[in-house]
Amino acid sequence: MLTWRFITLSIKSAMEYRTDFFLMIAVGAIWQVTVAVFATVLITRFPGLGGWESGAVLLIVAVRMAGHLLAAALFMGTRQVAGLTMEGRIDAFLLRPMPVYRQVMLNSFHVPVLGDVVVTGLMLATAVRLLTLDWTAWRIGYLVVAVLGTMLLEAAVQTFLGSFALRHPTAKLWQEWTEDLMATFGNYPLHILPSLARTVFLYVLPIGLCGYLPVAFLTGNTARLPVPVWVAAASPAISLVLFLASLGWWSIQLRRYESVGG
Amino acid sequence: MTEIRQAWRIARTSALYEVLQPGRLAGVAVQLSLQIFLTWCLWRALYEAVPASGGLDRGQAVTYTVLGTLYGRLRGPDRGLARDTVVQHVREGSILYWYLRPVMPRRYHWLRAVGDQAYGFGWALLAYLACLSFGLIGLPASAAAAALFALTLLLGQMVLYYLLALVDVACFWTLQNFGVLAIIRLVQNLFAGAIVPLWFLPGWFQTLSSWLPFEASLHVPISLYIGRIEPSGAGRYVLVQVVWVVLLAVVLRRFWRRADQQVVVQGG
Repeated sequence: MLTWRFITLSIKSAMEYRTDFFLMIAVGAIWQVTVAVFATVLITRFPGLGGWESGAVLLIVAVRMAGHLLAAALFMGTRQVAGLTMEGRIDAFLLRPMPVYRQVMLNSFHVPVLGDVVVTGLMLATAVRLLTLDWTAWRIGYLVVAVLGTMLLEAAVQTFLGSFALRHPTAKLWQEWTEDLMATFGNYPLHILPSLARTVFLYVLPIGLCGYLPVAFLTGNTARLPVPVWVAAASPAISLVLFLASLGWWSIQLRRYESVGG
Repeated sequence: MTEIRQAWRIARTSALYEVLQPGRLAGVAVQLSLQIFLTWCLWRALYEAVPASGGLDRGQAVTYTVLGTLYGRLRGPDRGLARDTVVQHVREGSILYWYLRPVMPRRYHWLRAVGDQAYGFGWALLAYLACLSFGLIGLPASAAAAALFALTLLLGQMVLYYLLALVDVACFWTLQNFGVLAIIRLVQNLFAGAIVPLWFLPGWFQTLSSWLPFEASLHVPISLYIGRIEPSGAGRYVLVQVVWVVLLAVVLRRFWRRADQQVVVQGG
């Protein structure tokens, strides 16, 4: 009940500046359009990217965009930790009868997701249409799980970095940079990259878990995978584990929290 | 002399955010290096299958996109983190101090912007020289291309300043401009060629873009640099840039005059 009141209040707060509210919806749509433009250029100008058909590459983009959409809707608070800390609002969160993490997530409604929905839906529909796959129940189910895994991976990365923002506001810059990296480099088969970059995107900043690996498994493009097929299949589960680990890291950092007021 | 010293003290403000924090400085260096390396890897990998695309060969495309990465630094440090953007000052009432200082607000804003862009340019220049020495990018196509690159880059930065300044001043009326700012930034990146070189986009998109102010800041200078636009055909682009500079300067001047007359200090 309290959570629902938080949600409605943050939506009301976002609608207080009506023009900006609608502009922010447009921001969401334009942001996704820019990602779609990049992906479309890759597919049309460089056909057969990494030996994958266009529909499969587009599906990576669509899964990543859908996961980003959900992460932006539910976990955007992770990006606001630096601001909340500097304003001393985390102090107030500590006094309320609700976990601080949940309060941070519910602190404001990320309006651009309303604009994201349309473009993401179109991308997903186009990718599914282009693919010559038999969309059985398990495949549809796995697609949903892949999107959820992408959301969890993005939430895990931002929660991990956002935890640092409790003590160092500059962590926000790393959060923004990481999101840019994920939006730029998470949209294509990672095996086209040299081994160093591929290793970074699989083991340091595991962008490969959102989009590339689950789609490779789903579409059967497993010939040039840099990891065993079962790892690709289990990538949503790995994302879940990483998300839970990031929550643990958040708790550790919160215990060390020191108010800016002294 | 006092005026120059005063201007210097104002212009360097944002740069000091980073310079005085070694951790942040190192972070910027790491981010920029990684971004350049990954961009270089990506575009080289894309050209494995095709020798040329969009009229660009591999060397040109890699140079374009790596220079496009450096372009992101030209805006200078993130002032939002220090709660020092115009919209933050307007919302928090601290814009009042802009009107109490012995410097006109519009001049203060301009000096800050010049300082930010000069600091960003310093980073971009260092990274450019590093990229050249490691052989990641090529040299300008010719001496004339290099000269025109410098000229159009300067004009492009002026266009970019006026666009961002207009958005800043607009928040004297709107009080909230995150939406406008985000749209301008996204549209700017898309039409400037920062997301993907404009040569890869459809003809209608390039035509539309050629009449907008955004491509002046990135696409035109870099295309001249790599030789995709011949120096002999640069006149039209320079003319469009000059027209936008004059037009935006006039509009900004009018905006500032009106803003000064109706500034609202929140909370007092």
